[in-house]
Amino acid sequence: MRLLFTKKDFNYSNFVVEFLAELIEDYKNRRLSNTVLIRQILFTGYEALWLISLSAVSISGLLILQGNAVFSGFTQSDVFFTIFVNAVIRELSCLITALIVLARSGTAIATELGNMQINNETESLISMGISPVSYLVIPRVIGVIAAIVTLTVYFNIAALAGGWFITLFFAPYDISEFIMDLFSVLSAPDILMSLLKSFMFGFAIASVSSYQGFKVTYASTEVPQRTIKAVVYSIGSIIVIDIILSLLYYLILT
Amino acid sequence: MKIELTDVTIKRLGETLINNLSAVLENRKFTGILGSNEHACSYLLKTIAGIIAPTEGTVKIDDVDIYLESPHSEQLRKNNSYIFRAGGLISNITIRENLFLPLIYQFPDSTEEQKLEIIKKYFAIFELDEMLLSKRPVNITEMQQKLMIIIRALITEPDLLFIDNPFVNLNRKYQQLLFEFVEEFLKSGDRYIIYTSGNDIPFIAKSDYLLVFNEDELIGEGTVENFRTERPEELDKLLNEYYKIAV
Repeated sequence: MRLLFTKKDFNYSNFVVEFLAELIEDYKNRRLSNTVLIRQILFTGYEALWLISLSAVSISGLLILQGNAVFSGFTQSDVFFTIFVNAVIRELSCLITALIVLARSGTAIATELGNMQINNETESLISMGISPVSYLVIPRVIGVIAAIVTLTVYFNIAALAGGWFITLFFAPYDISEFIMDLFSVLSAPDILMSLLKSFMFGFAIASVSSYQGFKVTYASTEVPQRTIKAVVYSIGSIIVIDIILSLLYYLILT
Repeated sequence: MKIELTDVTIKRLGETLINNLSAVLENRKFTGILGSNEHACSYLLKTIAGIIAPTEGTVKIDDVDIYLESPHSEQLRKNNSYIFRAGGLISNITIRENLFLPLIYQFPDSTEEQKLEIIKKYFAIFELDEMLLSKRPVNITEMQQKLMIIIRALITEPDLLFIDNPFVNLNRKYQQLLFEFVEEFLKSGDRYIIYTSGNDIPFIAKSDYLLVFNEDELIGEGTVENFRTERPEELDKLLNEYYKIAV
């Protein structure tokens, strides 16, 4: 067990280094806490499916409605798919999924770990020779990343299906034709960028929320304060990561 | 076993809880940390147990600094157990999962049946119903929670046991059972206990060494007999008459 939690210099960069070191150690020793991991995937992924579905269909529906308001025949034009791929698949799917995951799971992680700090639960893990990072953080981070990447893929599929369904209100559109038209615009880097962003957002949300949870030290009144910080810093991280990856995408591919 | 504290200072929220403490506990089987500030004593116990690093100074067990990452310090930690005053059970898993945790990490090769057998042995010692195993900490009483914390600390058969306020949340029956267990524990080989207590009379009477604090300062250390003969008034004042009754 590494000893970061017992020490004074407990900051975010140390926390991430500790996380990576413990991850390698756990992988070698095959001692990942599967129960915590499965619970995290179920909570972050499965239980958020309905909200993701609703958001995806709403976003694509609104895009089509607004597009048709600007010029008629929007859904039949190439511009529709270009906007759809650029706006929904490359940007909105991972961003909105990340915000939903942050609202549900990021806050839950910060609150849960904060309360564990108050109730001596983290200290009890240390006293048993179990690293809190290994037992509490690693499964949460992996769980959130796995869930957010899957949810982003699901968001894209739901947005496309919802988008096709809403186009039918304006003009008949065969599903196979719709898919063919979409794939003529969609490229592999678009999908990879969406998944890479999701991966990075997931890591940022889970690690920042866990770190803020562990920063609770003395009183339960710190828990909401730390949860707010988890949300604020996670949103900040998501924006920064999004800007950096989008810039890299345009610099490399255009 | 030798425990050596060198210039240990513990500060929390700007308040000094322990100030520049240096002490050596060599082959002391049953040591009590007593003081006017129970909070400070608990922090000191956690510091000696390797849970919270001191603000300044070093803690060595058998000449190994327990706050330096090394195979020696990891082994020392595995040989220790800590009984918390209250709390400490992981709240979102069952009692069974809580009790399995230290066994999974310390005896990874043992089977589930073997682990359960060890747990059942301690349930029998403390006359507890095995139905408790399927419950979550929130669904049992504070006394049952304390008993689970005690069992979780004991099932790994530690060489060095830290107990923070042993009798808190326990009724007389379980206080007696715990004390009897502690006596047996100390008789069984090379095993040691360090505890902190406000008024757990049997523990104080049984101790073979005491560290006594007034606020953040160590004002006396020695055997119970030393205190009884040399500094009775000081101890009497600190322990609010409990010591007198104890000895």
